[in-house]
Amino acid sequence: MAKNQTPEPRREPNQTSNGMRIRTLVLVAFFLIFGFGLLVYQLYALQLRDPESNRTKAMEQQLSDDVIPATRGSIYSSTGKLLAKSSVVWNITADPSACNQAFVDQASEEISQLLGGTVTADSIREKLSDTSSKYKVIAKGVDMPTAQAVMDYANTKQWVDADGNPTSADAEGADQEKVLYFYSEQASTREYPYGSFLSSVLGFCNSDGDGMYGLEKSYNEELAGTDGRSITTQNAFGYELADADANVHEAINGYNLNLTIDDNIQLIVEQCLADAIEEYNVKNRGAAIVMDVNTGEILAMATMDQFDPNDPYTIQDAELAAVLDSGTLTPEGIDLLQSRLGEDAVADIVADGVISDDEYTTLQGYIREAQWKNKNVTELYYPGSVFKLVTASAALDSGLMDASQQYYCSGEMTLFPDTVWETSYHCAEGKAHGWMDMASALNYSCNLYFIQAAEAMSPEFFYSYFQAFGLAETTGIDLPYESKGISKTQADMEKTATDLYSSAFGQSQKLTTIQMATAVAAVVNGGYLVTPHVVDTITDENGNVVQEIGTNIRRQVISEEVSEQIRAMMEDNVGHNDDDAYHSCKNAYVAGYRIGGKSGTAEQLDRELRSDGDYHKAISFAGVLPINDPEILVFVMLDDPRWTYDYASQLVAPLVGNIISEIAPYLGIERDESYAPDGYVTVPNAVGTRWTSAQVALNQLGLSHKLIGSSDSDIIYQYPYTGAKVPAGSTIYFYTETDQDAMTTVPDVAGKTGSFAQQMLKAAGLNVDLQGDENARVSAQSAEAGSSVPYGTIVTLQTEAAETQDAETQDTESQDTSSETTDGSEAG
Amino acid sequence: MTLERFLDAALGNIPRFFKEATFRKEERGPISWNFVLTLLVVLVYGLVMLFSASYSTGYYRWNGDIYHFIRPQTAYAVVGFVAMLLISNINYRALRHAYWYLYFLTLLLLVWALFSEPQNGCHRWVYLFGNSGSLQPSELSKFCTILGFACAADDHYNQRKTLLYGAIRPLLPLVPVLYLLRLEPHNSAIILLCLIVGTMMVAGGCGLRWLPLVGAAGVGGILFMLLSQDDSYVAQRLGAWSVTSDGTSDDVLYQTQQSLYSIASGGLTGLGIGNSRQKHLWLPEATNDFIFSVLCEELGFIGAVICLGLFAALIIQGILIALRAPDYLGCMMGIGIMAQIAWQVFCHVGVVTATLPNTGISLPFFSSGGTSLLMLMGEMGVLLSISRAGNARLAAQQRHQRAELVRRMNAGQTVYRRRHSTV
Repeated sequence: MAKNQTPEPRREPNQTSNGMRIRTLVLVAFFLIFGFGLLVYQLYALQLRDPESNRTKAMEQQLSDDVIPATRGSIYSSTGKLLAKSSVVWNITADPSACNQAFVDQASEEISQLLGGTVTADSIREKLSDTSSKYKVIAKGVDMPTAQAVMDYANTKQWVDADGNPTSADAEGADQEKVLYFYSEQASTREYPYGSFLSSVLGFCNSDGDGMYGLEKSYNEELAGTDGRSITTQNAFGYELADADANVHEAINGYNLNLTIDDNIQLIVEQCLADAIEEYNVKNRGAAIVMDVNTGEILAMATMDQFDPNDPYTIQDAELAAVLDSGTLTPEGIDLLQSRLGEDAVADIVADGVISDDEYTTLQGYIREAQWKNKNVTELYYPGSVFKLVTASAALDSGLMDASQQYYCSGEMTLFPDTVWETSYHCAEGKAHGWMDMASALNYSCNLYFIQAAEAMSPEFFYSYFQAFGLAETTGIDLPYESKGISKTQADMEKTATDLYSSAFGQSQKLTTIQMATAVAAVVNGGYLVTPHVVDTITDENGNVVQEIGTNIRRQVISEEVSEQIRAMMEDNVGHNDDDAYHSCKNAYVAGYRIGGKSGTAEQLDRELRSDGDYHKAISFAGVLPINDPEILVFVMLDDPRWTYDYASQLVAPLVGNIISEIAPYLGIERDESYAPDGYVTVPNAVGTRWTSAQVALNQLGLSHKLIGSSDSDIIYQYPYTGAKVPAGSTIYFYTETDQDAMTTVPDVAGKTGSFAQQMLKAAGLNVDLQGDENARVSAQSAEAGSSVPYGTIVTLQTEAAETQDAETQDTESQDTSSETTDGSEAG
Repeated sequence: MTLERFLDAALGNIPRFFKEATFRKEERGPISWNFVLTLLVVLVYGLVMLFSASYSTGYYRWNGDIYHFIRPQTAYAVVGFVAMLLISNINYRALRHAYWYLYFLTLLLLVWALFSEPQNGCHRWVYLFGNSGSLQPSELSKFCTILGFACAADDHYNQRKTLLYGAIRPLLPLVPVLYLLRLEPHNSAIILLCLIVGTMMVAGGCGLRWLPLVGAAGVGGILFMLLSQDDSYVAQRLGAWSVTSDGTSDDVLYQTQQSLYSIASGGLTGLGIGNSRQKHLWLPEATNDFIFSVLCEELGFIGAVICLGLFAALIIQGILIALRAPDYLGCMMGIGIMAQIAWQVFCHVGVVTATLPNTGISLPFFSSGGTSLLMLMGEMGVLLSISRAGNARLAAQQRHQRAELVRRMNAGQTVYRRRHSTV
């Protein structure tokens, strides 16, 4: 203690020792040599010796390789209607693991609202609350303003307190932070503005935007374009660096397809086909083709029922959907499935009469697949008697027989009697046709005649023509999943006579309708087998033609002369409704047009018998016009109809006639005035019948027809009435839902030329009785301009020239007619 | 009497400090300008690199302010440089009397830090004047420890080889500091302090015979500290060290990996100043714990070796200043100061090159951080103060030697000449 109190003596500083100096210098030397040496070595190893792996990984994370999606090309009909288009949309994704959970509730509500309620707040909340996930899709396919609004909201910094909870701006410790981590990515969607229209041809795209069926698949490469790429340096937030040397390759957008398919014709065909399927209770869909026989251009190709390519996975066929969902199978349900999907395919599923969960999935897959199939190119059918056109052409062209060759038809022919191979052939309804030449054999559709013709040709010639018509190969149409057909070969036919005989009238080969249509086109167009196609041109986004799918004549199968002979026979099948002779296909006749045709009612030999003991049928009809110089072929096939009768000549021929009656004027097919009725015709009765059958009589009389109301019930009212005398070419209006006239307003046509006035009145739904020169000006009209009259009212027009030339008689006549029409309308 | 003792201990050192604060004239030599020049080059190099490494982070994280880091750093550098020159005029021996004040201030700040707002779960900062000024007490603790050890060893210079006076007594004040740092937690500071005192013990010959024991205790203590931690924090960091190439989402591993990406991207000559890609937020702590990675990426192997070379030059010059100090205290202080710089450089570069486990250690004069830079510049001032005394003594010795030489050579010459020369 005392020691401490004394003032401290000034201490001499301690001196450093030499040992300390040496130790320190040694330490420093060690440190620099080994310590820094190690670091320099480590740098050498990392930077100079093997930097590659790390450098590559650095590049991988720094470079953002963004795909710039190409816009898929559009599809247009031949009239320029947009059938399929792609639009750029945005997908919004989020990184829930980075999002501040305290804000999720509020954000879910706000974003749901910004998205217009398309995504519920609950589902957004659920996704954002999954903090284990780094990637969740919040909304798909939103447009740019919406996406922008959502991103703006998500990127707005929020006031948070120290614990990350929401707080107000003036609260203590409040700080602005990004609380939501949202991202947007560009994508594109495919839209089909007309829904299921033409869907079996258009096909659809999967969620990746690749074509799955139809044109979308066959022209996928052309439509898809080439995605661009953008390689830029980015920071860890994924933002592009401002000074980055971006390496951008712009996307090349897909090409557009311009189809040969005319949407107006397609619409008519689809409607007619759908009506027929409905009316005739067709179980396994129907197929129809309208084709330019000279170029192979497909003007219409319908498979009914179709699917909606905007929603391809939904089963559109209500009956099938009901069967699928019913769980237990009724006999009707089984019948439908067997017809639609094939007996073998569904054998296991229908065996126990119950659809189990596994079977449900399988069945659902089958049905989806089935609704996507284009029946015209994928599914096979027995061509039946339509095939006789091929046999006949082959027989004539081979020179082994001529058209005057007669064979005897006893009504029945039995091969290998009293053996296990016994096979008997007979004609429809067991008729015996007696001696007949080729034309009448074709008209009467005599099976025994063509069996003998094939026999005369020998399998060698028969089969070589079979091949020449392209029936043993695909047609090469520009649609995917085309079937090649199943047929007996020459060797089969040489070995087994029945194979040849059955083939001769279309009961042993299974073909596609497009194969058969192409063959018929070759038969009538002078013998040229063309490649059918639905795409006319491929254009780039600026409209420049990149590729033109021109006419491709593969070969000449038969001579022009033989083609002409067959055409004459085909015209005789249809006739002109001007004699009492038998014309098996007269139901297809449309007055004023020269039409040739052939029907085919095939028995589906590969299926079990129907419950009524008969075979399931596949009925088809090929109609060609004008038959003297063919332009178009209308080919329709109904698979498995169930009606009171099921002959093609009774069901499909009228259908083809109906189609022709609407599309021939539209296409401007040359009329043969010598066949067109002139003067006045008497309106037949249609009340109490179906529209589809009512048309037939009108077609033959040269009357047009319009249906007001739906086509699936009987006609209850018509105007003009039954028995009225109307000018040929007038339009009769049918009503299925009301017995009241629909009214139209008469336009003022005074002073217009006769033909122009006629067009104006027709456009207004009125019929015209033109008195006098059609090029002269109209001086009088029987119905007052501006008055309201029923659709179909006959308006008599008087033209000046007629008045001056032949005033007396015209006056009388017109008065008669107009009084008649006036009566009619008063009665209505 | 007790009160008197207490007052003397509490306040007596203040007049003692001021009494000794100025150099006596014969003790005040010039400062070592070579060292200052080297330091200046390092400092400018550091500022340039910091600006390059920090503007991207500033831009993205601080509302587009690319000068967010470099502005205060430059100010601290200028202030620090002036402060260094001023401190060089204070006799370092006076610091003995300031030690206990400094020590308790350090403890106070360390405790205060524990009650401050944490960042990333660590209580390492003390906030002054609201949020505008933050201070890292651990930086202060480094100098405090150096000073304390030097003083303790100097006080019992003659018994410095014993366990009690060479090791236990000088190390005793370190214990609460380490404990508080452990609570922050700030493991890198703990390791650095151990390395610094270890170096001072070896160089200063304190408890040299007991060194294996003390060393073993130190290493054991550090290992125990690291491994006994319940959270996986350190285990993670150690794990990340050994697995440097596999990609995992682990944060620490991610840091090391990003650092390696940067270094490898540099190659021999680098991408050019300002051209680092990794600094664009890929590299965490690009302004601080991983600034050397950015340097490697932008200036390549050559730039990195030049940087290490500059530090080596600085260390050698600094150590030579310390060894030229006129007394044991100055020598120990100089060695401690330079040990801090040397170990920090080694650990920082070791971490970024994955030579050492990832523990955040800043690179002296390069990394962003005001407290660190000011403390370092202050320590440089102390070193320059030592250099003044050393240079003065050296000059005196040289004069003495020259005079001796002259005396010997001119033996028998007139006396007035000799008298003249001693003035």
